[in-house]
Amino acid sequence: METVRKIEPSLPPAPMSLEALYYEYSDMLYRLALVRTRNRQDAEDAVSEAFLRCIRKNPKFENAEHQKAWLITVTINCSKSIVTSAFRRHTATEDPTASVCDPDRDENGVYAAVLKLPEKQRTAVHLFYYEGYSVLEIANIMASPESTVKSWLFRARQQLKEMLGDNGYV
Amino acid sequence: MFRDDYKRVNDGIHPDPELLERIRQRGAKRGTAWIWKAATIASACAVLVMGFFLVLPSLKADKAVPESTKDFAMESCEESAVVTEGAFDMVVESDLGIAPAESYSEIFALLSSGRDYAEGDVAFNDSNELVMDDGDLPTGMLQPETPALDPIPTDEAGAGGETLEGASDKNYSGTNTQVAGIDEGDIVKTDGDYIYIIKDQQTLYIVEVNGSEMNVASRTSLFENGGSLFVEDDDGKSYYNENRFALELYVYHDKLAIVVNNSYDGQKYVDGQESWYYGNDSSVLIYDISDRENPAVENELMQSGLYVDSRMVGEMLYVVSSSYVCLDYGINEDEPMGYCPVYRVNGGEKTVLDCSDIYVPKEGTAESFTVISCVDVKDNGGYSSIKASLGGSCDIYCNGDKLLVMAENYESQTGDELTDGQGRSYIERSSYTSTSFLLFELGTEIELTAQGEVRGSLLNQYSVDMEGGYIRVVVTRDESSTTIYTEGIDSYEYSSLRDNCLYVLDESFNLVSSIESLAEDEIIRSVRFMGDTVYFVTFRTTDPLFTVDLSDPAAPKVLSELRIDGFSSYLHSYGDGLLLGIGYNADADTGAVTGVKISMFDISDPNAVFELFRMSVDANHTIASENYKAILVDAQKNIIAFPAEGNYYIFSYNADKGFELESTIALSDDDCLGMSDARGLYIDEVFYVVMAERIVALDMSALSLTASLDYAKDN
Repeated sequence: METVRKIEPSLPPAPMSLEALYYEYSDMLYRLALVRTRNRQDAEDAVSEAFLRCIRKNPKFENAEHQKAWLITVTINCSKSIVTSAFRRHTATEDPTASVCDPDRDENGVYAAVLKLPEKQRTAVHLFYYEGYSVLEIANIMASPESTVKSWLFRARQQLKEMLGDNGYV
Repeated sequence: MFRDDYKRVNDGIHPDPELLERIRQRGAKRGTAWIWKAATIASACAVLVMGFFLVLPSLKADKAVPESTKDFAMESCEESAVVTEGAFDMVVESDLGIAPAESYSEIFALLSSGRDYAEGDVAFNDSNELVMDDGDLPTGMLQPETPALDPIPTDEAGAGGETLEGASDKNYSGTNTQVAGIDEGDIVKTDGDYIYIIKDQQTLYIVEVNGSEMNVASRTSLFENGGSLFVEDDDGKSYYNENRFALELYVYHDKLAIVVNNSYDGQKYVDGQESWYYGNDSSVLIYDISDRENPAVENELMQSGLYVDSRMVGEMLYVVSSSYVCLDYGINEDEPMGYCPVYRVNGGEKTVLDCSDIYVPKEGTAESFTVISCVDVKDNGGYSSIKASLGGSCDIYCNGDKLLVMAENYESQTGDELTDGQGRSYIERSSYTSTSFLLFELGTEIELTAQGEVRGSLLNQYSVDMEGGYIRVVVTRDESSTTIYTEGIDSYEYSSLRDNCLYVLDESFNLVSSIESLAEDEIIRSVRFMGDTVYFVTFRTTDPLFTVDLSDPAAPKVLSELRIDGFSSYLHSYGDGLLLGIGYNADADTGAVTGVKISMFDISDPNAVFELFRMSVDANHTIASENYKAILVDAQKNIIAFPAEGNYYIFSYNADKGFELESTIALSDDDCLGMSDARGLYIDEVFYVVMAERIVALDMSALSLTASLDYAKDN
């Protein structure tokens, strides 16, 4: 195991090596990319490209939060290119859940239900419920109006309720 | 509970342990744009892509794609295409008997017939975007009053500069347009004294410029609440969401016109039934900018439909929108407001177009209207003319007198179950793409004069041109047929044909001449009509640049076919005997794209076109290959400029040495992530690069930085 660098959230992060970036962010970005692409291969491609862009461009970040948001945005953009590539569409597996996560772990079917949502809705759900971003933050990350993010979350919650049962579950 | 479960599942997900090593390797091989490789493979299946999209409207996003569609697509990519001779018939159709409607019921009948998708099904594609464009709000639906238009001028900074009457006498660049003298909207414009910018689709900036002196004259928020409105009722069962986006602007002396798309969606319960609705309309906001520090909104004109495109000829602005009609939710024939296009002037009542202003075919089906309007920006009391025609639209071409509206269609036919010689049951399915045209005569009244259709699909507006009474068009034809054996597990035999053609049509869409079957299995990447000649690029693994002589409309001739590696996505005349191409390098064996390049072709002898110089740009991708308005090319000033990845590049060209990189301006992060909205322009001897947050000024001769303004600093 290589050294994991501790990041001070409020200070501008020093330029990080690929390895350092990878250990800090790979799980987080991969989970996001997986929700978007519903395919391990595509998710890995998107994460790879996000890291490579970060290394190549070496942007000046204000703080660690900025760096994280930048990587998330790039991952979203990269997984968009892949998902919209029709070739990938056709070759994507029919039931993505089985190949994406261990069905035993998802005993209540919440992950499978999220994957059934349209792309933007499931991205917003992931950022809201897993990453804990606010609607405004998601709006900035996804370059969409705040009201539209609300509308995605609204529709997502409704569909999740329908799929998971209407007991105040969501 | 949901949150906890969802977290737990996610926490157990990790990338493959080998991923880091694979990224290292990929990083080492930098220079190959992997995303575009996937896109290249995908383009080989473009027929099916289209089939896929058009099948989709009948499906909900969360439904699985039917097995048949999927296999159909898979096979086509894996197997080599089988060419079927003589598969193309019925190349061109004209005179479809389109005429003004005599009654609303005639329109209603055409809209109602042939709707075979499931009732009430909402058509999403996987990106949660509506596959079908649009529709006006069904009558009786909850729709909050549109917030009163009240621009909020702020930051009235800047010294009181002189406001010039009329056009500036300075020498300045315009938007990169297809036809000289016919303006196209963009997010940045100049009149020589000011730079006008739409930022983030919400804010208008007017920046006074005088050489390297730059001052923000005004900043105007175009909409309240950032153009957003979200209303949710208490029980969380219904909502209404509306967003307004300023897309493009035009400047005409002391008037400024902004094209706005308004999109809305909502959900409500009607008689205990949940119903979801959505739609778009397009507005033109006209500002009086005689006082540049205080732009004053004069008028707002709204028409149904998602904004398609617009052109400005003199002071006349033509706006085309595409309005999808939802016939669900109890729309009835007696209320044309519910299914016909409407318009509104300055927040007044919505008015439905008179049925005689709506052109309809004698028979057939349609699900959307193309709405085309004309606004006199100088004297804007309302719409000068507004007409609609049944049918969709995706691109337009305008030469000042005529306007062509193009729509892409996909047609497929599935036969009955038959039995072959060996007693096996099978079904034949065939499909092809076509492009339909509406030809409008422009004037004080917009008149539809003809309609026609050709087989094949367009790349973009540059695929079409009009000259000397002829319509010239270059298309890629795609045709496929599938035999599906239906016993046991379905099995498929697939054949497809792709080629490229040039058609010359008269203004009634009668075929005058054609060249067919060019560059089999390749698709068109760029087209440029230049007088009597058309240049176009097709590509699969290498780039044939075709030069076709059109001087005799009845007998076009392919003069040359130049094969080089890579391809050009954009072609632009560069003075006498030169043609500039902006595009990509590619691997000659695989077709994998390896980075941005610019090429200069010698076209002085059309029979022997060749590549004079080529320069690779240090970028994997450029927005210029998709958005031509991001390009500035001026042969007289010797400037070739466009953004690519993280930079804005300015090149010059020298007949002996080829391209020279004159300047590289780093774009901010916002520009890169937003796929770059940077624009270059010049006014006399100063070159400006307008970016998301800042404008830089460069001296034209040395192209060295002289000034920089953070115009959006206090936003």
